[in-house]
Amino acid sequence: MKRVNRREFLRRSGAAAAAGAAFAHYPGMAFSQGVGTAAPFGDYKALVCVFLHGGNDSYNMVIPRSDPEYQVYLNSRQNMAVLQQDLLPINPLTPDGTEYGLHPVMGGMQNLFQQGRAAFVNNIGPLVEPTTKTDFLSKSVLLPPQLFSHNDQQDQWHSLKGATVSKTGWAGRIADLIRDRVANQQIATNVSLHGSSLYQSAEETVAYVMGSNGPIPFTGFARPQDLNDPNLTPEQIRRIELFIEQRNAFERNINGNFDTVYERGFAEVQRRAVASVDLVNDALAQAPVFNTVFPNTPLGDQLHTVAQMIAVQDVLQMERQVFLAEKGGFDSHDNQLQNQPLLLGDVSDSISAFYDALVEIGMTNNVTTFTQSDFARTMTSNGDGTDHAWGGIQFVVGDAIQGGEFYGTYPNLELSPNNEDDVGGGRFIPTTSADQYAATLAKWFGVDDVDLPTVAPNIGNFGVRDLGFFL
Amino acid sequence: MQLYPAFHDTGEKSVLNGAVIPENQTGDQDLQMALDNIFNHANVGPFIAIRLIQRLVTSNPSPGYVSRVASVFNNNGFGARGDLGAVVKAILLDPEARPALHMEIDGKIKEPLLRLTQLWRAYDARSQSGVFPLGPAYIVFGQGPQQASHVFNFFSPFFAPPGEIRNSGLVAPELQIETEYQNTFTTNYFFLITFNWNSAAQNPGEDDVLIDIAEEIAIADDTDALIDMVADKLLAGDISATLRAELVNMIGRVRLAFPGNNAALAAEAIYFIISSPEFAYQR
Repeated sequence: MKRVNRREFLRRSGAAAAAGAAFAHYPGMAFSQGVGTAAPFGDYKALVCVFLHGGNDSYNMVIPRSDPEYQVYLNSRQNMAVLQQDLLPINPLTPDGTEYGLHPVMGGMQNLFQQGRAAFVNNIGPLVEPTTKTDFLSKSVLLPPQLFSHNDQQDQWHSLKGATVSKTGWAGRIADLIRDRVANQQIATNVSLHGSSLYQSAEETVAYVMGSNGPIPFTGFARPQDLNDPNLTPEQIRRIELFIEQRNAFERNINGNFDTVYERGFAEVQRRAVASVDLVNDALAQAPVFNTVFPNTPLGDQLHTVAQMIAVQDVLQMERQVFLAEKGGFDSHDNQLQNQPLLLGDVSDSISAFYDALVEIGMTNNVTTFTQSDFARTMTSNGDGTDHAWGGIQFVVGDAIQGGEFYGTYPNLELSPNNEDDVGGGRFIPTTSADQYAATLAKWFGVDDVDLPTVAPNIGNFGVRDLGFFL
Repeated sequence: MQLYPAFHDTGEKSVLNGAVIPENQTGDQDLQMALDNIFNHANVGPFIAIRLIQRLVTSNPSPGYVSRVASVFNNNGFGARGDLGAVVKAILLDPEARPALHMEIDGKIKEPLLRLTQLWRAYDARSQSGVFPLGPAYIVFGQGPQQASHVFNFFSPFFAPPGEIRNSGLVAPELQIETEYQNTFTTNYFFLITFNWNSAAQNPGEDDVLIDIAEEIAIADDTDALIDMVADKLLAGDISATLRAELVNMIGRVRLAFPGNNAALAAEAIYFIISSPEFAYQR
């Protein structure tokens, strides 16, 4: 293996063609992960995915507010229903005859929607092709396997693999598609604030994973201090020199040859960690202090760090970034009435703070935030909560979109054998597919039309490739 | 979970392989029959074999290895199905678990908590209080006892990182939680343990789990003997020439910087090894 020190390595990853060739065997080591054979975008855009882990009960997020429709909702939801008088009114630009409101803890989202900065995408979920209830019952169409199962449906949202097997995610495939246009980027296009995910997995590129508050340095191999500081004592100098050598020895060791694929895979993670941490932390040190106060929650922390990363995108020469933030706890089989306000309140407050921070740095047109979640939950109550369903409601936030609007059709919430949306218990067949959602986001991000089927493999099965929520 | 007889569906039920659970049984009877039906399905043996081999021996067992273990699950030699003791014995004593010559795909990565417990066991770690606090394990290690954030545990048995492993059609499940961030956090915790929470520590807290480095301190004047001892305890004696050479260099430098501090020499040797890919790999 060729050994390259960090400084040399950074220099060469800027010299795109050379770096691409030199690190072809170690995709994670080439920060840009591209070879610069295509023109740069020349502008900055970021997609920020907030994954609501466990299956968000989205029919308690956007709820019919007008009397007859609320009664249908109440009959289906029973003791899981939110009180009609508590709903926060929203007014979509294109009325569908029903009035709607948001869960009472979502004041932040209400404001964003009413100001035209947030939109809801109704009854969306994984599909292979358009599916009616007759199709579903007669099994006359291909369906995503293992409907109603957490990990399988999370994988569907992450990968859009439909009925096939896939080890890449749609954000990962985007990063692969654009990698030659973003060859000057100092870190990977995909950044996760919450561990590795199928969503950001790719064939060629590797996501960079940091903590909720950014990367951390290795304690024992940390960046050495300046040896020329005249105030250092001889003992301090000895320690610093030791740290320098400790770091050099560690880097030499993890750049060495290893006998097994496992050691090589492990060493590659360590090499990426060492090579990126100073770069990213130096950039983050230049981020402004936001006036916006973020919620003191893991999601608030993650989105605060994302806002900081976006603020310093020019320092890292980023043109395109996909961030993954995540909030867990949505699998509300139990204690839903106690937990749901906390979950949705944090989502609303964190998203709202994130938008406000982007206003501070003038980035609201450049950043589109959106949710994904395993599935919605049954309209029926299990007594203490709700169970796994299918099509749900997601939202999109930013000034690049036409907000204050519903996209896709809000389903019929009635529990009835005659409800063409319902396959039982208030599990709705999606009328908009996750592929359409991803293709719409990817197109805005700069993926060429011809490449959209690579991002969203089943998009060809749907007449509408663009859901129209971008201006 | 609990059974509410009033809500039990007493109708007949079709289960796997065309079997039928008759109508008008109690919920407990139905559950027992359903579990027996699944347990006796032919896929269970190979399924359990692959999962247990992945946890105990290698991420990528050969079909022959899986088949040999599955056959023991199906019949322990005395007509019993599902004898897990016999299954584990078959896994650990299989020729593929003890290869004469290691292939590139033999073995696995140790998940972070197993790296910690190996260090603790190798160095007879104890706290004065007898408590073994893990701290905020999920933050430090990306996993913790009884702390999986969902029912599918900490990593997927199908995970394959991009590059050589995925391109070869192989998997490395444990690498799913080995991210830049998590690896650094865990390595930093090992730094804390080896340098601060060892038997030479002054005034340790009563819950600090201290590794016992007395044997290393006693022989630390001899660099080669020190490396041999740590490599025996942590790498089953199988240390690469590269790692040894770096360690000789580092121990020499610590000796110069801190003359007479044998605890620092011992800590250096342990830390350098437990932060290496070689230690993370289980042969």
